[in-house]
Order: sequence, then structure tokens, then C-alpha cells
Amino acid sequence: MIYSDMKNFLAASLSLILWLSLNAQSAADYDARLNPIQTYQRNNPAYLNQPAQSDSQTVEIARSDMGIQRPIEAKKTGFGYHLGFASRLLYSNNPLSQDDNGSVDGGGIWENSLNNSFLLGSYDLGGATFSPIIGLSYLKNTNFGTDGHSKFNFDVLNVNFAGVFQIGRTWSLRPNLSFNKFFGNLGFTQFTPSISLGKSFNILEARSFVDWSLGYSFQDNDRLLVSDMQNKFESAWTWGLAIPLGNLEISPYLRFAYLNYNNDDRTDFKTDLGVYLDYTLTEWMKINTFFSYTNNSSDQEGSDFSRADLGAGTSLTVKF
Amino acid sequence: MKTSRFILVLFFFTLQNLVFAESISLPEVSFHSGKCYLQLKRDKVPKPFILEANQTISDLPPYALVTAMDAFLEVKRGSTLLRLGRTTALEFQLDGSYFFIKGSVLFSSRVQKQWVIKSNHTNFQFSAQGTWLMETTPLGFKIITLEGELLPSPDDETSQTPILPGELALITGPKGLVSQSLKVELPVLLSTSRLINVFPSPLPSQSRLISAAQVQSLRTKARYNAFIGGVSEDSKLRIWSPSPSKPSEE
Repeated sequence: MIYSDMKNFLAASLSLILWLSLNAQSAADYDARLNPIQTYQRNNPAYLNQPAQSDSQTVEIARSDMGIQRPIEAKKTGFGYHLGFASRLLYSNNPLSQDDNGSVDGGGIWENSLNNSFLLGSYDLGGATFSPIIGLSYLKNTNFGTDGHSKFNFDVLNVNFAGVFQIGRTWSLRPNLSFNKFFGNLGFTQFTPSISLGKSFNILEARSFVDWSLGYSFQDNDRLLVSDMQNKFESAWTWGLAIPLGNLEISPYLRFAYLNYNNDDRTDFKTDLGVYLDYTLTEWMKINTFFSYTNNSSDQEGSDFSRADLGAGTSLTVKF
Repeated sequence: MKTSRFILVLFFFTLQNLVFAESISLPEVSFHSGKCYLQLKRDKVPKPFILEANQTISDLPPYALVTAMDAFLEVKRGSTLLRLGRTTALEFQLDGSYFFIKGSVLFSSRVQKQWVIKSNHTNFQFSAQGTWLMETTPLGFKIITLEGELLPSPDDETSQTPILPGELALITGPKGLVSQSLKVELPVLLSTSRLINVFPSPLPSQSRLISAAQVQSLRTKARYNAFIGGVSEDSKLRIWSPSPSKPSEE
């Protein structure tokens, strides 16, 4: 019988970044509502290798001073491939992230995404580890329930390359390159190099992390007078917590971001907070429900907005 | 001219100290809990001395370090660190080799060098740099590499296959034959090993142990609901499964 116990290492793993949230667009633009917790997990080699179900089995106390020796089967280098599909329905009071001047209509959003993660092994650097990952995902965002919102439907193709340096049990450093191609009536491309520093720690049985990231997004948008008008520098601080309760995991998070659009002479301060409840049904299937709230405060007129989303979804993952 | 001569002398002095540091440094007790003894091995065997913290062992080998029941001992010698578990006896021999009488020992060395560890049943010669655990068995040793690399010296019958981090092997026979290795879960081992956790100061190789365990976690395909126990008289490794009450042997 094979069973799971990754607790020790997972305590160290939650310090990595949520860099794809850098790709969330600003006011009155495409606003891909990425789940910071799931995004983090999808790009975290330790989490990707975690069995889905929790393990409550206790272990025998070893008599030997050497310690408990449990046999395992291991790959030579740790190469792996994970394929996932996720679907979720949500209601948003401001689905287009528009300036809240009293005329914003709420609406429904249906998101479907296909995610591929290529784990390119893990390597011992003698005191640190290095784990490169390539991610390839496609997300389809469909608005419904409100007239006029459907023209803002969009698809996003994301290609991501991250190299995760894990230092000690709790620190991590992650340089990352991300490319997004937005399809739709108002499509554009975006390239984002970023780096983040994270630290994880335990709070009783819960795993927590804080993360600080720096990134710059280069955008090429033909619909703007100046195609790189939306280039932006972003620095973000994120805190997350994962509380396991059997097969249920409750994950609140809080994120503060400073954004500077240097070509547009604009500065924003964005706050995200939310909570995700994930329930593991099988090794390969989860269901979830979530609530998230975003507030964007900008020094440019028409760019302030606030938005609250409530929804539920499911995800399927197979690991090779 | 004087300056260059001084630098030259300083360089050779430093180089000599680096090269011969291991051989000229004396073992020093860096930690002990419970009663630990130094037993000199002479023609007329004297009474054992009780070891104290920070005591330098200036006696010439051969001598044995012995721990009582529920006692632990840590000894530093140059870049090598030894941790002796409970009810353990390890003899330091004049030629730099060790005679492992009984118990369990953690070895940690940052310098790649040749090791010879003997018992009544086996003679294990290898080259190593890193951290590893050894335990006596009825027919030789059980060995687990925690980090670094341990390369058994080849002989006519065996090839030179390294024992890598997270691998367990049995050493048996007068020639120190190395069994096929078995992978064991390092995070569990590191968090339950008394040779790592009973001692107040972390090992010098602590960060390397953590990274070796992390890499193994990322490479793990499956964990078995079983635990490795001791070795039977007929050289079979005891594998315990929590569900049946008796161990299975393979």
C-alpha cells in the first residue's frame, strides 16, 4: 500500500510567489481573476508532488537511534508532467473591473482552464535546491447574465518558466519569466520577468507564507495610441495561510501591490483579499468555493475600482 | 624582498595546516549526555575514564569511546564529527581506522578521504565526504547516506557503485560486500533520528541535509506503508508493516 506524508517538506514549500497575479489587468481592462493559492500550487514543485489526500496514519516509534526508515520509490532526477483542467462559475459585482461610478452592472463569469506543468527535475546544490518548471496554460473567460459584457470575453495563453531555489527549510527565491497572449476583440501580449523572495512558517497545524515580489510587465497593445502605454512595474507583498481540516483546506490570503505605469504617468495601489475552501474528493479531483475582494486606488481619474467575487468550481489533475 | 618571503612562509604554513589539520587535531568531546567513557586499549587494560564536556582526548590510539544506556556523545576531530548513539562502542585504531564494536554512529566530514571501518564480521573500506549513519548488525553494518557521496572501494567481486543520499545498504562479509541499496524517506529519517535531534547544536551539514531531503521529496514516486527494522542472523532485512503484527522479510 502506498500512502502519503509530505508534511515536513510542505512546511518549507509555501514560501513561493504568486507571480501570475501580476498578470491581472488593471481597471477597465481584461481582468483575469487568478486564484493566488491555486496559482501558487500549480507553479510550486513541492505542492505539485503532494498527494491530494491528507494522511492521518501514525508511525511506529523506532527503537534504533538512526531513526525511522521508510522505504520509498524515487525517480532519478524528478522529471514529471502534470495535466490539469479547472472550471469555475462566479458572480462578480464588477466583472469588468470598471471605475465604480454607480453604473456598474454585476454579472456572471464562467472560466475554464487547461494547465500543463513540466517539472524539469530537482537538483541538490549542497545546501539549497533548484527546481525548474515550465508551465503552459490556456484560460477561457466567458461573461454571461448582463447585456454588453460578452464582447469583453477573452482567452489567455500563458507560458511560464520558473526556477525555484529553496534555501534551507523556509526560504525560497524564484526568478520567473511569464508570457501572456490575450485573445479576443481587444487582444494584446504581455511579457513579465519577475523575482520573488518568500518565507514559510507553521502556525500550529496550518502552513503559512509571506512573499515579496518585484516584476516589470512589457505590454504590446495595438488598441492603444502608444502600444506600450500599459507597461508597469509591480511590487507586491502577499500573505497566505493553508489550514488543513481533513480533506478540507481553508486558505485565506491578503495581497498588497504597488503598481507604476511609467509610460502613462500613473500609480495604483491594489489590495486583494479572499478565502478559498478546497475539498479533496479523490487523488485527482477537488471541488472548491471561494470569495475574493479587490480594491484598486489610482492617482489617474477613472481607474479606481472595487470588485467582489463569489463562486465555486472543480479541478481535475493527473500526474505522470 | 622580506615581505615576499614572509608571504611565502605564511602560504606554506597555511597550506600545511590545511593539509594536515585532520591528522594533527585531537578528538574533543563537544557534547555528551549520560555516562560516556574512554577505554584505553593497552596490554594491561586500565579502568575506563568518564568523559567530560570539552575534554580533549590526548591519549594515543587504540582506545574506544563507549556510551552507556541512554547516553549520547559527540566528538569533533578536525573537519570530522562523530555522534555516538546509546549503548555504542567505537574503537579508534592507531592506523586511523575504526573498529565498530556495537551500536549506532553518525559520521560527518567535509573532507573527501578514505575510511576503514571494521567489525568482527566485516571490513568496510570506502571513500566519502558528507554525512552518513552506521549501525552494527549481526553480520556487519547497516549504512544510510544522508548527504554527500559514499563510494565503496572496489574489489575483485564488486563494482564501485556509490551509496547516494537516502540510500540504505548492508555491509557483510570479510571483504565488506555492499548489498543492493534501498531508498528510505529522508524527511522522516531526519526528523526521527536521535543521532540528529538529541544533540543541542545542529550538524555543520544541516543545510545540506535539508536540501538532500527536499530533493528526494521532489523525486519521490511512492511511499510504502512499511518500516525497515534490524537485520536477522541470516542477513535478511526486517521490514515491518503496521497492519500485520509480525514483520515480513525480503
